[in-house]
Amino acid sequence: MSKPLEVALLSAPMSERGPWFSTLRLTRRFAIYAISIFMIFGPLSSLLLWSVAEKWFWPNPFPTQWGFKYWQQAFEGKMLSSLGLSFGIAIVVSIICLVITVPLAYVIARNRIPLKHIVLLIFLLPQAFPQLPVFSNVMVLMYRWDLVGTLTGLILIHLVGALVFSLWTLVSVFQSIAEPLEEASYMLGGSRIYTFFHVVLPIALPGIIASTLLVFLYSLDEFTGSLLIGAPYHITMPVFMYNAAGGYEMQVASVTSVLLMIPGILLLFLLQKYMRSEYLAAFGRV
Amino acid sequence: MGIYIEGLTKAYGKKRGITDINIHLPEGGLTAIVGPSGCGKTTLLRTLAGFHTADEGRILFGSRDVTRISPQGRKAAMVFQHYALWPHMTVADNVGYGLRLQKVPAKERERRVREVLERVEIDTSDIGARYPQHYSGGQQQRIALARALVVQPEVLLLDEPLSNLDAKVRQRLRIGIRSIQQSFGITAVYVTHDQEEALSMADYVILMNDGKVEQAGTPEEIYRKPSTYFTAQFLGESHTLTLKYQGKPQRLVLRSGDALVTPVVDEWGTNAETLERSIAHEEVIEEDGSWVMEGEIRHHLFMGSYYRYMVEIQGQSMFVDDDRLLKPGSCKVTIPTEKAYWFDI
Repeated sequence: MSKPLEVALLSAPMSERGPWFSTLRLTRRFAIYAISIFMIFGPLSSLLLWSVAEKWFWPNPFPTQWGFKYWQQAFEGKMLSSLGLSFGIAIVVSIICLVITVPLAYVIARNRIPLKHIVLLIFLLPQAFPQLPVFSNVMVLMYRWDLVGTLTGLILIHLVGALVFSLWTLVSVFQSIAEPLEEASYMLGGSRIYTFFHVVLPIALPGIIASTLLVFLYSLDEFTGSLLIGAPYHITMPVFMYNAAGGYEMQVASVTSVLLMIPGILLLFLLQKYMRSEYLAAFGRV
Repeated sequence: MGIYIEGLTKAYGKKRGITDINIHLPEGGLTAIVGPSGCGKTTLLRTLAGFHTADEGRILFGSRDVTRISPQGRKAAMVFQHYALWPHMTVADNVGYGLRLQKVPAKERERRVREVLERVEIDTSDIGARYPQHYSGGQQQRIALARALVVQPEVLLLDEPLSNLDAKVRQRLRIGIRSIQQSFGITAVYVTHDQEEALSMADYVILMNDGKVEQAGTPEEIYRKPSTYFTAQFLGESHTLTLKYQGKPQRLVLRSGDALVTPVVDEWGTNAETLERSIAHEEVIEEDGSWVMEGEIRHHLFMGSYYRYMVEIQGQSMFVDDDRLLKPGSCKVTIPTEKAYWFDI
């Protein structure tokens, strides 16, 4: 008598194990969501608040005077040109990265290059040390070549870091494409170039997009190099924000942060859509 | 288009190279290259495909020397273990890829794609909208086969095409691939590590070991007349026993299905006499065209249509299949002499 009941209980799906069980699960899930949302949006909401606070003194929990004065100021002043500069540089850096690293990563991924690890290591080297000393040394060199304070210099300094991201992810992307996919094309008469454009590139596209987004965000967010090489002639958004925050202009800094964050969040959603976990998993083991 | 391989040598890694291969693969036939992993069978196939360049020797497709020709120019097509269908192209685009490269006009291309897909039994109603991922493994391999055949290659190369499929699909597709190959009358080279697959599908089997051809011949020849110990123990469900024969220990290779076990029936004493002789000499004796030896049934496994017995013979065990249910205990093992292969140690 008891046996069939036991079997029925054991084989019942989760939801049929009684209402108390699903309530417990729901509560737990809700708690996890609530904590995550608080962890992510808590700090962000304070930024949002600050950006619309015209007066906010301790110990008031909320601003005493609200308004868009600082947003208005931001769009009237130098901030807009900084924003444009940052986006422009990020786009140029992304394109240069694509042009250099897509073919290079493909060659590294597909061929037995004797010094492959050395090549990859050289690309990684600038990231292995604290950025400040590395960039200071670069600055010394750039002074010699008259690149400090120029857009070219800014783009070059961004490329130092961006190429690393781009190359390392793209090598993984190309390695994740099974070689028989290309060989099948060769057997049917497709040349290496034809195969690259008709087989490899379309399959690698999600990975390439993901890597480009990473590079774009890196460039948009780059600070140390931008400060050393670009300032004071070319002020990018992060540098602008640094200046604003340094002047205790909490509101200006908040507006800048929110502006900087919007493309970041949008692009991260795109990234999440295109990035396959194996690209990241292969990161660093080539 | 027969394939002639003359003195082909290719060093590849520490193990997987091939040395001095000389074989002729008959026109319109399916030749299976079989061997354990690392025997060089894949290297041989990839050298035929042109992915590796031969260090020495020649490859001829018919009278055309292709040794130095790139994969693109060999007029060979290939089917891969993991199908290698392009996930970003529809089935129609996958199969039509080779024709597009040959600049075949769109109308004719579509006609030929449909025709070849029908021959490999793929429904062609929505091939322009469906992607390879929508098909089962067996169907994907059929599509890959269609993609290879649509360009009318001179030679079809198959690299373990069934290894990625489950047992039932594999059995069916063996017959499928075989009949498609025969209906196209194309010369095919089929690499597999599965000896059963090689024996059941091929017109001609090449058994490779350690980068060399161990034995070549028809499936029946190679199975029934193994010239070396390696061939004998590699093919079929084989067991090696080390027994005293003609005064010295030798290796005896047996197949599970070839031996016959008869339990010793004490009351009647049926087998007592022969067994006594066998035990006394600790040797295998010949009786009525069969080898007779004493054994002991240790375990049995019910296999559905038959029983598989683990029989111990002079401290060594082997499997014998029989459709009767026998009791454990002493038994007589009989093997027809022509189905027992002796090799010197």
